[in-house]
Amino acid sequence: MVAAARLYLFLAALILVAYTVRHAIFSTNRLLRRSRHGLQDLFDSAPVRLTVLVPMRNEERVADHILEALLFSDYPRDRLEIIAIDDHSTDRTLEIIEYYARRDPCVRRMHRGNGRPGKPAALDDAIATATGDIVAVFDADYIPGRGLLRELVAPFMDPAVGAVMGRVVPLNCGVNLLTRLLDLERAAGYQVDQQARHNLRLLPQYGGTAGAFRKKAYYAVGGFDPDVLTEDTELTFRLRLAGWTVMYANRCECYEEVPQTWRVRTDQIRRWAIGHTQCFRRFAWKMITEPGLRSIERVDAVMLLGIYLIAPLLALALIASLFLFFKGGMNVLSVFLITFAIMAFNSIGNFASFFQIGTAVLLDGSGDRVRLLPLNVLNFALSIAVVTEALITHGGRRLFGRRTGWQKTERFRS
Amino acid sequence: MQVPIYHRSYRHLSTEPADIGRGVVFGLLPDLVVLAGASLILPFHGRWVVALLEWIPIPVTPRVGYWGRLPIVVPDVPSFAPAHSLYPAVVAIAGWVVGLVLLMRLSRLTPARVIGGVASIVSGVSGTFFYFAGERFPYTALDFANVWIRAEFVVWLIIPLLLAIILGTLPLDPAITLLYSTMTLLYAFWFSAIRLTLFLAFFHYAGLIWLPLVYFLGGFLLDFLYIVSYYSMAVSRTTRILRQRREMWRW
Repeated sequence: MVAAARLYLFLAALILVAYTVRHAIFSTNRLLRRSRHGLQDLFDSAPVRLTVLVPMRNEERVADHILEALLFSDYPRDRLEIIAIDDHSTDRTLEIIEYYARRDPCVRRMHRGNGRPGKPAALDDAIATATGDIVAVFDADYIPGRGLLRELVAPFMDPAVGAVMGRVVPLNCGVNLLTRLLDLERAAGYQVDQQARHNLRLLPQYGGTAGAFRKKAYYAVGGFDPDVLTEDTELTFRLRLAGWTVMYANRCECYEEVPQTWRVRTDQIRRWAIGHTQCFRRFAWKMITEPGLRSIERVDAVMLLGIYLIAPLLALALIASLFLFFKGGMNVLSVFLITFAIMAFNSIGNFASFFQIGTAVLLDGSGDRVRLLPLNVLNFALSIAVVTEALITHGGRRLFGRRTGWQKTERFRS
Repeated sequence: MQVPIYHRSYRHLSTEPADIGRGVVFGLLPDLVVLAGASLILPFHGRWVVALLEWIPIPVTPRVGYWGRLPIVVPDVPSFAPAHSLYPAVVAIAGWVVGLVLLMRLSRLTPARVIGGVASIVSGVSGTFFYFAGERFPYTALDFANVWIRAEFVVWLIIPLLLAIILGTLPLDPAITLLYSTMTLLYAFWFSAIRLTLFLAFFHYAGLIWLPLVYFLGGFLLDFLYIVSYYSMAVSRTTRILRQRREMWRW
């Protein structure tokens, strides 16, 4: 048992060090290297026909904000279609959508009162009726700027591009400590992580909102799978495996509302953890064996897919450390090894934390908010517990043949 | 002619390889001091803890030994040994109950509940171990102090290395990198002595049953937090410096 625990800690430390190296490379790339950009500066006088999908379920608090923002866009009206999807709402969402559909011919109303609820199913139904060649998706709490649609669509001038992801910027970052921490986390995730992956010609992630994809590519890879909780990650990998390019456009900034309570935050982490791990099972091996990908792309893709598995790995490492501790293993080289690795992982490597946050703050040129950085350990502790619990629960449900359902994120705007 | 767009996605930090090299070298200088002065620093740290414990006052015996060729002074403090098994039983039951209550309602998890829950469970495990096999607990306060001093010495060596790498890549004057590296190291030295004193005092009054809790939550976790704090201060300072310089853009 002691030998097994030591071996486990050693392997866990190796995995953590690998992630540390990966994220140190990303941060260094963003600090020192030139960035790749899309084709945002090309002005197409006759842009392609664009369909914007806004799936909504009980979104009366925010529905009019996103629809107003989209109608204010400078995208040519004769080439724009907005499909506002009411997905089993029980509040005034449908009423608001109908008002906008009457007000502007660009807006189409789609009501889903029957069938499977949830974002992937709603999007799939809407895409079947979409007239655009490019499909952009926005969650209802997002507020796109006037020029965003044009900039988001510009990279599709390259026929190899299957999807484009924009940058998400929190709108409500000053509300409380949680929103401030999430603001830092988002900055790191987009300004550093996504852009570095784009720079290094790895796989930036299409995030399912504030992004767009080519309808032809979507159908070529078989559309969304409604059983997957992160349909965006799934689409990213299917597009890549089918030979399409996924791009990240750092200039395409879109405002979003981040969770304002820890309860909503935990629900969000749960959904991401389960969805990401579903994708890990589906695509990790395929990414390793698919011909035509570069080795570094394979490694990065598997690490990206496995990022949420780090939480149960760390939880188990704590148990192994406790076991070794009571067996008399308290010495610098055994039990401390894992702690050193965790320290290094957090200091230099963590997915959206610490070093990456510092780098993102520098690149954004926004100063004092970075002083909250040490408090991000709160977010980290919560994530480990929630992700571990979510994956165990999900595994248990799968054993008994039960499905984990899609949950809508609560809104706070009034 | 098209006018370039000044957007933050095009902002560039002008760090030249030579600047990075200088920053890393300056950041690493405190490591050289720690390595060169190890034979003085380690005994001084131990003696300082001994002096603090005597000042509290707590009976302490300085044990002089060697770590390889390095002399170290390790404070030895008698720890509280409860005469009755009720004490570990209470710690065990309270630890498990509080831990499970905090962690059970998964839909209401918050960081405070997670950290409190883990701390309680570790205490519960410790209480259970002491109740059933307290005499087989493999450590004394002297063992703890021994490991603490060695591990902290490793942390002192890591701090300049870590900060040299992550601050060296920033467009900072190398002197500022050196300043932050030194400040963090001095804080680490001071905070290590303070923590060890407090923990040994705690063992003296409350017993070794709390040693696992202190080991898992009072050691590297706190080291990590102050390192990140100093890093965040350095980044904050850098952004202010950058605001006074001419912006660099790369389209």
